[in-house]
Formats: sequence, structure tokens, C-alpha cells
Amino acid sequence: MTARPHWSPPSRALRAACLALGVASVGCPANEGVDPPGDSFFYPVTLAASPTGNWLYVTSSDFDLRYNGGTVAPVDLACLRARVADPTHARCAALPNAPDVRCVADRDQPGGFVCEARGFVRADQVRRISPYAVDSAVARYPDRTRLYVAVRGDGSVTWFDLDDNGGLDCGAEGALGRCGDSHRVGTDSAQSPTAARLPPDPSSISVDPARGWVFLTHQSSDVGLARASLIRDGAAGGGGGAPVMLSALGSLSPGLSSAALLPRAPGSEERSTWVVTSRAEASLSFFQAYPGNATLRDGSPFVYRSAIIGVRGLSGGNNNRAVALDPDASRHRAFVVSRAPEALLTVTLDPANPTAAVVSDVLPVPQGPSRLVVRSVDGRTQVLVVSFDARRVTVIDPDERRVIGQVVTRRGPHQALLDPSPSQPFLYVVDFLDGALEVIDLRPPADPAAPGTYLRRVLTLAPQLPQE
Amino acid sequence: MRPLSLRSAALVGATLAAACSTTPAISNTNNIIRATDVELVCLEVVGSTVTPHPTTRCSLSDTDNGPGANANFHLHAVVPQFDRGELAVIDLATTSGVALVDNSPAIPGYSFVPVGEFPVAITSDVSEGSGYVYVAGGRSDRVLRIDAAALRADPRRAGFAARRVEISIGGLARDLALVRSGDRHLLVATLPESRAVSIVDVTDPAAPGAPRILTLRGGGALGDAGAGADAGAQALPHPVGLAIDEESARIYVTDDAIDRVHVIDVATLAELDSLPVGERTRVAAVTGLARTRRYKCDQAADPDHCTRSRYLYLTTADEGAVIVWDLTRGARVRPNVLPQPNARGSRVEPSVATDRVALLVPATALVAINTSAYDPMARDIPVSSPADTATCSAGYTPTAAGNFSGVFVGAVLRNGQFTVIDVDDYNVDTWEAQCQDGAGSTASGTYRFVRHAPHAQTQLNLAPAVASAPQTTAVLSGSARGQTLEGAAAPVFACGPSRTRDMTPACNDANSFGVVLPRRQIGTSSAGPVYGPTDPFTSRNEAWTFAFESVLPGLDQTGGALVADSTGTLVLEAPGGLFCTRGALAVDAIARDMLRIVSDPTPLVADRELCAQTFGSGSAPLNRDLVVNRAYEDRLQLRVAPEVGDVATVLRCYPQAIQFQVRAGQQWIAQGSHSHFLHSVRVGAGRECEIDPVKQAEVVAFAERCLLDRGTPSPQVPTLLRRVCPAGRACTGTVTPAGVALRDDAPVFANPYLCTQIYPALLQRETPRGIEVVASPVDRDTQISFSLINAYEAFRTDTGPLPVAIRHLRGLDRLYVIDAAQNGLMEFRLNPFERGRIFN
Repeated sequence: MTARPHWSPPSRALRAACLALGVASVGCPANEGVDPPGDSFFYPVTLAASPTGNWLYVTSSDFDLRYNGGTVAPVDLACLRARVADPTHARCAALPNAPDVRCVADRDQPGGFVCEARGFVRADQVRRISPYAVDSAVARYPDRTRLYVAVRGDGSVTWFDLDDNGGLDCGAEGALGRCGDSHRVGTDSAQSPTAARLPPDPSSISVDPARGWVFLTHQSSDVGLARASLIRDGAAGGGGGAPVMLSALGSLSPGLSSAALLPRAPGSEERSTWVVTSRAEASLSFFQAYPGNATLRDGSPFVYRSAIIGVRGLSGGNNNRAVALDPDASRHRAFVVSRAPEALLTVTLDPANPTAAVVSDVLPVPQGPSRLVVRSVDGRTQVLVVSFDARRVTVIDPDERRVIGQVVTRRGPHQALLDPSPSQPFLYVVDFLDGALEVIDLRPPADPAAPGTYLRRVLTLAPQLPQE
Repeated sequence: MRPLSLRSAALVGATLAAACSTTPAISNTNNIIRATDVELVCLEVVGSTVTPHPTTRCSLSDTDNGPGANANFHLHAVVPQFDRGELAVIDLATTSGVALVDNSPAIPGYSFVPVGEFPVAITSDVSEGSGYVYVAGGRSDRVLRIDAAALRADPRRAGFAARRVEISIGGLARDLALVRSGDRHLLVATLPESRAVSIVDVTDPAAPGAPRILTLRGGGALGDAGAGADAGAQALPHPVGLAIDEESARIYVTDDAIDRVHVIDVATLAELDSLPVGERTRVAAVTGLARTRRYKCDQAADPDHCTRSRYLYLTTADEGAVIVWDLTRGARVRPNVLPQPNARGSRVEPSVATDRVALLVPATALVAINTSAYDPMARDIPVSSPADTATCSAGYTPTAAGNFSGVFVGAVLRNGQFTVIDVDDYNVDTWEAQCQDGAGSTASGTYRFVRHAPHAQTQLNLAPAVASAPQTTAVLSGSARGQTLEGAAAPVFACGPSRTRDMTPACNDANSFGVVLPRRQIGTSSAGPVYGPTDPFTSRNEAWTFAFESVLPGLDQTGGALVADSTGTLVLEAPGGLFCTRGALAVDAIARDMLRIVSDPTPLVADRELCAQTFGSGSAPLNRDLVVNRAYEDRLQLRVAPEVGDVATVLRCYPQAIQFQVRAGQQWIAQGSHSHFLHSVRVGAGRECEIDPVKQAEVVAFAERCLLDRGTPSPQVPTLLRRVCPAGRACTGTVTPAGVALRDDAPVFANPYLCTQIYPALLQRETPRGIEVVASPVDRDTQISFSLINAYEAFRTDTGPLPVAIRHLRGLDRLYVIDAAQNGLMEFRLNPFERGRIFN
């Protein structure tokens, strides 16, 4: 009889190491089997509205990789407004099989309510995408409307055909269907006539629907990587063409962070121009999409940097997070949120000469400014700056250099969007940390002495209701 | 099996944390966040009893910042914070503990006095034994008055509410000031959106008056139409800033909608004739009277300034530039013009207009400073230039370096710096600077003229000079011109090292390296004449590079399309090219640039061989330089060389958009590290590029001064001036038949900072006729660089990322700056200038 070897328990250190290894191996799992929630948001980063103003598309990033992907979820905007107007509004009728709307009073915001997101999300149309979405944009073409989502996780722009009922077509079927390869542009060089792929680290996306250009910035600090790219969507010319990756451009400023499409300049009608910020260099870059020359055999449109200017005269100026244009085009100005210093910059533009752009004003804003939107109210421009760290939205009159108001948000306000309907002055803010969508009332009160819910968070769509 | 030990558990925990957590965000815990303004008040603190006093009763010890003679009298700063809607109170005289006053100690952390949403401005009215601070809110048409005696109190305590009074001002205030006129105390506020100024009589604390809304007159550059007239909305006033002149009982109100400054008479509270300052303005500061001048008035830029004057300093609404209005003469000052003997009206800073202070960064706030040592009615005052060895009369001593004294203005700039401005500082030599009585000094100092830094501590201790010998680096571009016959013979500057045959002794008095700075004799030493720059304050510390046939800055682009126009001429279309804006030229005998095609040909298969033969490949390019026939803002008309063939060949080889460069043909491009490419090209008729005659005339004037400074015989000057190349470009001299590059023959390169001439290097070449001396060819992209050092620089110091307000307390000689972004409240000492404490 052979003596069995004596088994001795592993040392405590070995046990600990094994356990640690085990924990590490499951701590950040691939999560192939864990589907994301199909009726709420988790680390939402971006939102876009349908041109009709009926739907809001909230993209969740799956930032902590808890699930096997992010999602794009249609939110019934009409129902959202109805709930704001009528606290008794109980159900979003446009949503098939929608549960009743369940809400409680917002303890942190007098006059506000917190509602379960599931009552407003069209769950059967929620689609799954790769993790780490960063930005989104909607374009309306002659016979279709498309949503583009820049996704860092798979290096793609995932695109959707939208319908007016909240439908999202990305080559997937059913609730939480994963978008198909045919709806992800930039991942396969074979799909590109120039054999181009989307560079890593996309940071923002901007669309020129008139030309079908989809322009992306990339915030890589690796000098060897491209930092701007161009996609053309054949749908711009009518029909159902798919977006095609055209070109990626390197040797640019590092940390490109956001882009805004400029009005067409005289003499340059054929080209679309974007002004682009950097979070790593004190500069503003201008990019143009070159359409090719119809008189020649030039079939290769591409993007190029047409100008770059220094952001001078500031202490820093090298950490700019977002840019938006003044809706009053005659003012020829853009607004930039800067973190060095933490301020709102007014940039005066010269349509004929990008190199003449100058920072014409600087206004302090609360800590951690990250995004902004600009609107016009009775002919006056208002800038709404989202400050992630300070957890608030600051409403600024740049001409009066005055803070009109501030809205305290939940823990992680990020991207914001104005309601596309002029008659519905609401601001929608995705809350990254709380997985929420916040609705801020921008309706001016009839009596300034009784502001009511003006500049307040009137509604929050949260994954679940707060515990009593 | 034993359970895991604590260590093991910790390991597991650490692994878990490392695997799945993100780096925690660390937030600053500053107590003063987004401050907007600051006011100083003197409080006597005895136990819990606080009594306000005028600020003249408070002082700060130079040694420990303590309260000085009376230990109970503490100077306090009061700081509104718009983000929190609070008023922070800071005890500036505390020597122990924390200066921040915690108004509600029972609450963890520091608690301040709530004052309502978005406070924007603060002022005070403190008399002996009582007083108040007034805070204007961004969303209220009322000003909050707080009893100064309650500034250290807990606002949650009963009784505090009685110390707060809301006073109606009839609109939303932008700026706030307190005016004392006789026995009257008036609270003044600008109401931009009401196009008015509100004045409230607060003489009787128990019964503040009703607001008197003074609607201001409109007009300005758009016509004196007045409010409601046809001139349109832009002609309506939009008052924003206040400056109070109590001596002459005037309130000055800036306006960022019209180009005038409103004037209100304190006695009648009526609007007087506005000041036609010619700019829309935002921030104002009015100085006290400057001294009567006794010396060197003839050397002032404007002799009229040799009177006792007071000035209104203003920032412009558009640019943040500083302009100055002479209240005594009633006219704009030209602070960016050098004084005599500069007869040409040259600018201190060439890129700034003459009627602006020579600042390159916008100013965000101004404060008039009238230092305690200054008595405007006394004789010439002890100013504080960097005096050293002067022998002064009995009873007088040289003043210390680094002190600020006199009447001037402090400015905080958008880039986070503080600087000082003085438009009437005409101590043109060291007389006033060295001795209080003006005696015993000589005129040998180099501290000659300070236009925008009164006796700053910066000293021009060396004449600007070339820092090192020209560094020559040759970068071969691969073109045929990159080949040289006898090594890298590079051109040299005039008077350069002995690499040329031309070593004219007359050059020796310039300097060793051939870059000639405008200069004049400023004295004599045992070694001979001492030279200094003619206009030292036009010099700038800067690195300069001259590059031969260099790419014009910004004209290395991708995206141009080569096409044939209606006449069959080859054209590069590049709507975003901005060729004129970027300095391209194609003018015979002046400058004719070249287009360099960088891209390789992209022809159809059938044309590949032809294109390879014509244009080569990336490693061996051929015929890629096309001479620019005519340059336009958005396109270049090109010549096709015979080697290329015809236009059709170019189009067949380059059917797609190309990468291109525009290079200077046979010229050097001069670029300064700060000045960049100072060209003089503008967009002319038909959007064609042309020389701007005004700018070019300035360059020629610089060249003339340079030639005269160098002793060039007058008859030769006109000839040489005709050879001046376009601004920003330098041309190489020629070689005479005798093989000599004459010093006076080379075209003069001149700009506001330097002038020079460039000579060709010479080569000996054997010919059937014997040895000939010829100019050595220059490699494309050959660079010559040098630096200017030790130029005068105005005094500047860092404050914080976003300074927004500044206060000065006469008698204290300290400055207080509010940084809205990071540092909170910062203190600076004036004598000697020193960065002090930070309260946050």
C-alpha cells in the first residue's frame, strides 16, 4: 500500500495570494452573461434628441464594466414633459407595455420629483453597444434620421436609424439586442475606401447633416496616433447608404476634446469647418472637411487642419473641455469651458480668418466645468455651464457678465441638452454617478418674485426610487 | 484551517481595490471659492465687542503682520463669494490661529455670513465707532447692508437679523461705491440693464433714502441720440464700472455699450458732459494728482503732461486694453509712444496702438495707488529707482531699489499677473531716481524711461546684445539647391566673424555678432563711450531665427486642389489658405514665393511613368517647386516650368488634393519667438496679396534709423532704403565684381527690435579667367538664430489663475488681490515689493 502523500494546507500567504488572484480574476469580469439593465441608465454619458422632439436617446457607458455592454435607451420626451406639467400623469401611453410611472417627491429639491426611469424608457427598443461610449449626435437627412454614438470600447461609431416611435435600428433585434457589425463604422478597414480605421480614444462627435460629414476628435496624447477623423454618411444624398470611414489625421494637438460646427464661411461654401478645443494644449484648432474636386477625378474627401491658434493671455488656457457656438450667428462667437482657469471663455471668431480668433472675455464658473449648452432667450444669449465637481449648472448672461442662476444637481452632472422644442424650455442633464436623467425647468416665471420651479430640478429619472 | 490573518485579508482587500476601483478624486477644500470683490474695514476687537473705525486707525506690522501700535485694532478683509452667497471675513492682523473668521463655530468647518445669491460687489462706509458694509447681489434689486460691528458675529444668533438691512437700489447692480460729500454719504450702484445709475442717500443709517435712478445719456460713436432715439439699441448706455474722485466730487461711470465715460457731479447728482474717450470701457481707476515736474519736461512725449495731472485709467470692453484719459487736459493720453528724442513717435510696444498702454494681456481690474510716502504738493518726491552709488546732498539718501512710490495704477491681468502702470513717469534719467533732491547724480544710468512701471525693480543692466554667436544649422531639403561646392558655407551677418573677406573695421563698435540694435551713446567710461539702446523699452527678450527659403508660417497645408482656370493657367485652390493673411507675395523685384508640392503624384495607372519622370518620388522629388505668378487670399496662380511640360501634365499627376508649402523665393524669413513673422502683406483689390504701404513704411523708417545709427553716410541712405525687403523678410547682399561683399551694400533688415544685414559667404572658383570670387549658394532651410537678452521688461508678478479684483489701502502700502479660481485673497507689500500671505 502506497502511502498517500500527506496533504498539508497551503500557507496563509499562499491562500491569500490564491484568494486575491481569484478575486482579481472575477473582480473585473468579462460579464458575458450579465446583461445591462434594459429600462434605466448606468453611468450615462451622453444624450441626443430626435429632431421631432419626441424622443431622447440616453447612452449609458458601462463605465465600471459591470455589465456586458452599454446601452442606448429611447426616452419618451413627450411623456416626460407631461409628467413635469402634471404630477398625476401616471403612464406613458406611447410606450408598449410600459409600467406605471412611479414617483416620489424629491427630498433634495422642493417641488421636484424622482421617478423610476423604467416608466419613461421604451424598453423594447433599448439596444446594446460596446462599453465606454463617449458622445453622440443626431442628423436628419432627406429621408431618414440617424443617431451616431462614438464608442471608445470597440473603436467605433455605432449608428442607428431612428423612427418617430422611438425605434432604434442598429442591426439588432429585440430588447437589449447587440448592434451588428454593419452598424459599427471604423472597426473594419475593409469597409473603408481608404482602408482607414477609427483611431483610438474618440472624445467627441459632430455632424454636418447638409454634407453627411461625421467628424470626430480623439484625445490621445500619443503623438503617433491620429486625433481627428472623418466619416461620410451616404444618407446625406438621399437613400439609405451607410456611413463610411474616410480619413484619420495625425500630427495634431494632443487631447482634442470637443468640436463645434461653424457656419459656412464666404468663399468656402464647399467645406465644413469645425472649431476644436484641446484639454492638453493651449490652442484652438480649425478643421475642414474637403469634399473632393468635382472637376477632377478626386474621389477622396478627407479632413485637414486649416488653422490653429494659441489660446493666449490666460493663466493656463490648456485644458478646455467643451465648445459651443452662440445661436446668434451674427455675433460670430463661441463659448468654451476651461478648467485652467476654471472659467467660461468667450471666443470671438472672424469668419474670414480663423487665425484672428481671440479670447474676448473670461468669467469664473464653479469647480470642475465639463460641458455647456448655449441658448437664446428673447434675443439674449444664455450659456449654461455644467460643473461636474461643484454639482451644479450655472446660467450665465455673457453680455451682462452676470450669473442668472444656479441649479444644484445630483452627484455627477455631465452632458446636457436643451429640449429641441422651442416651446418646451427644459434642460436635460445626464448624471454620470447617479445613473440618472435630470430635467431642469428653464421656464421663466410670470412673476419674478415667485420663481416657482424656475431653474430647479423638477424631475429626475433614476434607476430606482429612493428609500423612504 | 485557520482563518485568514489580518494581513492576508488586507492583501485581498488591496487586490480587490486595485482591480476594481478608480483613483479617488481629491477636491480642494478652499474656504474662499469664486470670490468676486474685496473690501477692507478696521475693527476694534475687545472680547466679544467689536467696534468699527476708519481704516486709517488700523495698521499692520512689517515684522509679523500684527496689529501695530494698538493691539485691538485689526484690519479685516471682507470677501463676497458668488458661488456660496456668503461673505468671508478675514482678520488680517491676527498673529496666532487662523485669519479666517468662523462666524458659526458650532458648525463644522468655516461658516461665513450669508448675503444672498451671487454677490457681485462690496463697499463700506465706516466712521469712528460705527459703520456698514454694503453687498450687491446678482439677482436682487436690493443692496444688503450689514453692520460692520456684526461682521464677526454668528448670523444664526438672535439679533443678527437686526444688523442686516436691505436697501432698494431699483435694479440689478454691477458695481458699487460709497461717496462722501461733505456730510452726505451716498451709495452709488451701476444698473446696466436699467441703463442707469442708482444713488441712495445713506447718511442717516436709520432711514436710508429712496433710490434716485439717474438714467444716463446715450450716444457715443453712434450718435448723440440719447436714450430712446433712433440711434438704435447700441447707442443706449450700459453703465458698468465706477471710479470715485472725491477731491473733485465726480463719479466716473464706464460704459461697455457706448464710447464715452459718464460723469456725475456729486453735489448736484446730475450727469455732466460725458468724456469722449473713444472706446467702450469696463473698469476704471482715477489717480490722485501727480507731482509738478521740474526736470526733463522737454523730453516728455507730450510736454503738456508736465503739469500736475490726474488720470482716469480705463480698460476697454472689447480687448481689455488699458487706455488713459488726462482729466486735467481733457484728452486721451498716448501712453504707448516713446518720448523725445524719439521724434518718430515710435511705439513702446509695436503691436499695440499708440493710445493704449503697452500691455499684451488684457487687464481685468485696476486700482489707483497713491503710496504713503507721496505728497503731491511737495517738491519732487523720493522716487525709488534702483539707485546705487549716487552721492546725494546732505539730508538726502538714495532710495532703496524695488520700492514703489508715487502715483500710479496697479493692474491685474487675465493671465494671472499683476503689473504697474504709470503714464507720466518722465524721470528720463537718474536724477530724480537717485537722490531725493535731484542732486549728486549723473546721467550715466541706463534706467532711462519707464512708461508703464514706475521705478520698477527691474533694471536694464546690460544693453541688449546677441546672446551667442549665430548658430548655423543646415537642413537639406533634398532639392538640387541643397548641394554646396565647398562645404556648408553659410552667409553671415554684417560685422560677423572672419569667415568673409569683408571685415570692415567700422563694424567693431556695434557688437561681435553683427546684429545691430538701435543704440545711442549713453555715457562715457574709462574704456570709451558707453552705448545703450536708443529705445531700450522697445527691446524684447526674444529668440530670433532667420531661415532661408523657409516655409511661410501656417502655409504648410493639406487640402489644396490644382486646377486650370478659364485661361488655362494652373491655379492652386485653397479657400482656407489665407495666403495674404499669412504673408505670401508674388510681386516682381520684391518677393516672389514658390509653391512646393509635398505630395507624391497620384495619377491613373496610364500616367504613372510620366509623373514619376516629371515629379519623382518622395525620396527623390523632382520639379516640385512652382513659381507663384500671382498670390490671392484663397488661391495661387502658378507658373509651370519647362521641365514639367504643361498644365495638363500637372493636373494628370495631381488629380487629388495635395499637401503643399509656400516658401519664400531667395529670401530669408525672420521669426521671433514672441513676435512671430512680422510681415506687411494685406488682402488687396480682388483679394490679391499686396504690400501694406503703412506697415512697410514703418519698416523702412526702422531701417533708416538703423543706418543713421551706424554712421552710414547720408547720401547712401536713400539708395539702401530702396533695397529694404518686405517686412519680415531679409535679403542677402551681393558680391561686387571685385569679390567683396561691401558692408553698406547689403539690404538692411529692420524691425522694431533689431536691424542687420546679411552677406553671402564667398567661394573661390577657378575659371579660365583665373580665380573668381562668387557668392556661395545657400541651402534651403539654412537657419541662423540668436537671442536678445537683458532687454527691459516691465515689472510683473504672479497672483493666481484668475484675478478679478484688487484693492489698495493708502497708508498701509499693501495690495489685496482676489483670485476667483484658486488662491482666494492674496496680499502684496509695496515697499519693498513682496508677495505676502494667501488667505483661503
